[in-house]
Amino acid sequence: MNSKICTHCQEYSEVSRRTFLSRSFQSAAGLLLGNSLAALPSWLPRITLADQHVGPAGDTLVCIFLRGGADGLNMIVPHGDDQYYAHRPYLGIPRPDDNKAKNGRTLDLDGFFGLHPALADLLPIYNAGDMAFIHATGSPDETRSHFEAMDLMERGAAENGDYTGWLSRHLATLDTGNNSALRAVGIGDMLPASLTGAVSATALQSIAEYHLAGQNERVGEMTALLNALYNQRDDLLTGAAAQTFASIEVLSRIDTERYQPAGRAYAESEFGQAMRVVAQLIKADVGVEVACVDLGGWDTHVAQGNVEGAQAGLMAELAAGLAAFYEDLLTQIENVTVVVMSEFGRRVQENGGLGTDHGHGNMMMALGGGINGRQVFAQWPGLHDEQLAGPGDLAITTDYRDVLGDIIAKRLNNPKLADIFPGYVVNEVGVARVRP
Amino acid sequence: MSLSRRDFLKLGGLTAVAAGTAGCSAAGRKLAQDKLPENLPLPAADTAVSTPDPVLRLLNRAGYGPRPGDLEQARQTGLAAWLEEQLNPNEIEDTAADLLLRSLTLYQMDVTQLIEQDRKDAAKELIGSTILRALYSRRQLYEVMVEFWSDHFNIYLRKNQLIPLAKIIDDRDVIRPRALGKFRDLLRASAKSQAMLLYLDNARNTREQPNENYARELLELHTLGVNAGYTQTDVQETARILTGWTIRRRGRQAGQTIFQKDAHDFGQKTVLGQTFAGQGEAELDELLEMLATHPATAQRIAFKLARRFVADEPPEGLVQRVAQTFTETDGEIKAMLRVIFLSDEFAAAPPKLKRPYTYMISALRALNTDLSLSRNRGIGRWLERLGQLPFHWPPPDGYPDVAPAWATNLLPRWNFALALLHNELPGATPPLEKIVAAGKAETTSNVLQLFAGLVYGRALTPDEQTLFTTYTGSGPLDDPKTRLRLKDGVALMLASPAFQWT
Repeated sequence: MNSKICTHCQEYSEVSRRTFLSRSFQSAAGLLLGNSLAALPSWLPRITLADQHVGPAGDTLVCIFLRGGADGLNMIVPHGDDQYYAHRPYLGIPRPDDNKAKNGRTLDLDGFFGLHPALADLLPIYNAGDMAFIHATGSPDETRSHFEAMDLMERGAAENGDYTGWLSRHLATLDTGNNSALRAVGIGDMLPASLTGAVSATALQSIAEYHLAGQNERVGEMTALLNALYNQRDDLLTGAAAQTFASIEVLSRIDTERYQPAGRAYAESEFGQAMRVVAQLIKADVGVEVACVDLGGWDTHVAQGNVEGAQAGLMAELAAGLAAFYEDLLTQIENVTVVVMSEFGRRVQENGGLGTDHGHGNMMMALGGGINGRQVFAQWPGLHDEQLAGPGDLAITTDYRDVLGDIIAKRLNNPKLADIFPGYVVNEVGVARVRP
Repeated sequence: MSLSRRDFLKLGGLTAVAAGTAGCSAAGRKLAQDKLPENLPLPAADTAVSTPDPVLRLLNRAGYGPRPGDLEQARQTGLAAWLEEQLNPNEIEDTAADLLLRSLTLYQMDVTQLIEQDRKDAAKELIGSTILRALYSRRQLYEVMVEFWSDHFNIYLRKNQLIPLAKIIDDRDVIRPRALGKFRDLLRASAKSQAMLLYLDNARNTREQPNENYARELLELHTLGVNAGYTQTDVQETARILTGWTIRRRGRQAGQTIFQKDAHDFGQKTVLGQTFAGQGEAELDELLEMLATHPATAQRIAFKLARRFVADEPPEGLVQRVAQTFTETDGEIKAMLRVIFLSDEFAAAPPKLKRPYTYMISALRALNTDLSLSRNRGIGRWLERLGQLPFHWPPPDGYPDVAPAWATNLLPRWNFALALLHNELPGATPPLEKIVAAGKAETTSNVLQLFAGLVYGRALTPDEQTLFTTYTGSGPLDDPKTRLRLKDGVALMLASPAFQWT
């Protein structure tokens, strides 16, 4: 991790209510764990590891995955394209200058694209130059299947084969000297596929609850017994248990109760709380290089809504969470990059249920101090019928790996793009600045 | 399920409880509780080996793990006979589960009544009764198959307001009557299931405004599989065939699945090269017949069954034999299960990680835990933390069935075990004292071996014995500190890797 001083951490990493617990833990388990953590777990999938690149850790990367195929056309609205409105008589988000629109209209970004009004919280970040959008982007997957598309995108692969995730390969090919148990975290009860095979990755629901239950005076001994039982075998769970013990140890140093975000309060929603956890981890400087957060519910086949409605609600949740996170980390935003993506976009033409079916091209978002912000990166393919892909979808003119690769190379200090995205030559899109 | 109302009253009278739903469920639990054998033998020393016992594996995979006494009983019955018994659930005497079933209120209603009810009650009854049946029913393989098909035809309760109510119908009238029947019948019933029509939006799929959500998942998940060679055009053509199948919104038959002619696309369609004349209602059966008999469907179902019961990456030869059985028997589920459980591949199967739900149920069963439905919200919250609250997987592919999906979330499993042993789970009480009495355990070492028998199905190995005894000490059993440590010890057996794998 970088050594930039966190101004909020002082009181925050002081003695916590569980310090007592963690001390007894360390004495009992610390010794036991030494060996099992140093070695690669035997269950690590067979990654063909290229030589590691040795370098300093770059930004902390936060990957937000919008599950279900988010309708990017109604998020980053191409209001300058008449065809958008022709295809979406009901679902279209009114033009920025549409005076008849009573409930809300597109917030202009650059004269052609604009934000859905429910994403209004992002506008100040965009205007401050810390946020950019990418449009007509996505993965070449043609199945329009959630599972195939997510799988392909999270593995970062062109086709079947390597089943590790792109983030795992990033971590495996970059040696930053960081041996934290929390190099990678997924917020939730499962790790995303992008972290499949990661050497040190932890699924985390809550920092405060991440400890072995039971009475303090026995927890250390219980940990030792459990650790011994897991070390009697050598299987998938051996490494997972060691990872869990190590994460417990690290997280026990964070006092969540007294945490005060530097900006607005995080929403009580699952996503808001997940972003709060990520911010806490970053501020506590416990070695997190990659954090993954999911926001689901974007499969809007029916009743998607337009200015208001189901998708608008999700957008507001997303924007509020990003804005709270941005404000909270403003003093260290130069060391944080957030990327938002989804497995595919949705059909340009609205369907009968006032929703949209699975499509192809989509938008992505990038936020951070090192982002070339206040721009929408897009080679717009157009929305005339003959310009659409497949059954009537936004064509892809920028591969999602050109965006991720750009960020990995410039913000995460990892040049091993060919190992992270096998079979693909990244054409860096220019959304990120080289880290000083 | 042949209890008459009078029988029920008689049985209820045994426990002298008042009439009413709470009473029924208490009666059921009481009966189930009584099944703790009077004598629980300590496991024989020669069972302390790491080679898995085939009968134990069968109880763990074709059921939710043994309750006290089950393993000994199944060993006497024999593996093949036990399986055959389980494949005919209607012939299994199962008073406890039948009584539980009768205590449910929403499950007794027809659809028109049901859609007027409260969705929160529905979710509670659905999840609660599912857990209780897995816990107490003697029709274990049946319950496991209900879970399997509930994943295959996944329905997410929070997708919309009506789904929890509609899923009760799906559970009662679609999945449960056919869980050991023929795949084709399940597929057909599922296509007309109100919950499915709502969950995958076919209720909104009309000629004017087609919606391809159900069509796509029908091909990709329910039948052929994503790489079976169909195209986006096939998906759209399938959606056209499915236009008009919806739910009646109002009137005397509100909530019934109907075919709405004027919303149907009567044009000609082509799916996978087969032409469907625009004849209306009958097109659906024709489509499902084609899908149910397609070789790719046989492969997909065979693969999923073998993955569930044998290995994350199931042996190709076994998958082929199961697929062949599917084809030869017209998709008979029992026949496929026989092939799987009696195969050499099953006998030599590698360890399979319990999914969180199975982990939790098997822990409750191992300790003969008394669980109260009315206060089971604590259990629901634990299942959320572990990651597998039934009917709460949002995407249509069902909860994952491979170890890496679950391996990174061990801590909630450990803490669940500790909470269970220390009576911190509202409504769940393991009868530890009774077990110790039935086992006539008089030393800490006896107690540890007794519980190892229940949890691991074998005696502790010398190494384990040393580890656990070091933790518990050898104090007298009436010493409160020793008792606390013994409870920790049993919790850590449940938390240990040997109880995560089957």
